[in-house]
Amino acid sequence: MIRFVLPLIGIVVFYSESIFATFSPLEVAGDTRLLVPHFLVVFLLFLSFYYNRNTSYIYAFVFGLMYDVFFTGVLGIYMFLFPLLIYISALIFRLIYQNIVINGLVTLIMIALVEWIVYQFYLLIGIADMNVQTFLNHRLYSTLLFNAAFILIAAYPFKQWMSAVRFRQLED
Amino acid sequence: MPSFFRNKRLIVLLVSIILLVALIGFSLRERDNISLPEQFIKDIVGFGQNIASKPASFVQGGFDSVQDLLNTYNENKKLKTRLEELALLQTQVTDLTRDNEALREQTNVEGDIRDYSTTNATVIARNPEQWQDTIIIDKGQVNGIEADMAVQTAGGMIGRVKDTGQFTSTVELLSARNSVNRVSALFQAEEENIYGLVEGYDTERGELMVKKIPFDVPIEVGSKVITSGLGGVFPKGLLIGEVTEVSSDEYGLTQTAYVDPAANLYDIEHVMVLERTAVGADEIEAEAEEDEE
Repeated sequence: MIRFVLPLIGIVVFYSESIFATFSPLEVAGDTRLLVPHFLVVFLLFLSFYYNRNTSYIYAFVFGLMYDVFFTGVLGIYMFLFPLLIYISALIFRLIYQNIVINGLVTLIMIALVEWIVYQFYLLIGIADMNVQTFLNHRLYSTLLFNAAFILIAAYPFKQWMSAVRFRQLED
Repeated sequence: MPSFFRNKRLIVLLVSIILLVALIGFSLRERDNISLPEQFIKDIVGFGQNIASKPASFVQGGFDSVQDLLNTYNENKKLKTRLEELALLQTQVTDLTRDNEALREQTNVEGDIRDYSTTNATVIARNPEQWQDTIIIDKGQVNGIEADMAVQTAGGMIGRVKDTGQFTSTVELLSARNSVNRVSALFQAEEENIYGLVEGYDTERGELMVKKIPFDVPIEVGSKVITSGLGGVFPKGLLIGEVTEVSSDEYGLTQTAYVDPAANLYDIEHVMVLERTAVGADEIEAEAEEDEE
């Protein structure tokens, strides 16, 4: 049973993104702000921090493919971006010491990175036409705030569950 | 050993980049519908999404109905004043429809580009990354949905079907930035019809841009914009919105009208997918080819 726990959490997180996306865009002080949920990135990165990095690459690949096919229709972007994020964060943690606060902060930086890379990519292939100022003001800052709130809520449970699953599997 | 690992990493990187470029090229080219493996994944994910969206929409429905209750009194007052006008309008419409039918029979005109058949669908997801404005509905090829059908809500037209799976379809909203997503529009003016193309969306104003309008025709602010049906894909007469501003384009050769969309493009729950019953250009061409053979 225990081996189904993590895929199940992943699937719940995957679907919750599209449900939370219905809150967006938000009107704040007369301006529209986009809230882009990146809960999947949080889940995948925490999986690599607290469970097993090699397994999390596979998760990242599979969920990225699902994301591409079902939502964006442009194949390949998230499929390769999610594993890349895990790889970059692993490089960062060669340099600094890991604890739950630092993990949360690094995850937030990775979310900013994924937004930026996808933005540049879509500019290149002509799907987006936002200028940098609009992107920062209307999209990036609000998105980071929104996801920071999610990390605050979810970081501790994710850590507990993932460590518990790993511990149980090591025992067997 | 270290050099071997370094090598492996490099190979993985290179292969990924090649795959990435190939996949993006594959998914961006013009195609009628998505490939079979994509449909397969889409159907599996869509099945789960169907289940996941049920409790969410239930909770949201609860909030909405409380809000409805609070608004009831005001709405009731407003509606009562409209009710009398409505009775009058209804008799006129019935009269005109009968008149129209009778005239059509006399002149032997068959097929009307206004005719369509509808399929009701529920929105089960919205694209969470929000770069492309797409929504996903819970009806697919099994229910007779095909790519390029028009989609509307009670308010007005919202977009077209981009691609279909067996049980779900993706709808591209009018606000999406896509060079292929062009709708032939018609301004309802007093004397004559004016045509233009819906091309693009102004994110800051939250309004659609209708371009390619001849420079010498005056367009009144507040006039209604409907689909013209001349593209051969959508039926005629779907409400798109209302003109809020008209300006000439950068070279002064054509005009651009800003149109406030009639339907809310953000809060969409139930939609109707419309299949045009009159033959379009594609069908006529296909028939002509068959005749030649």
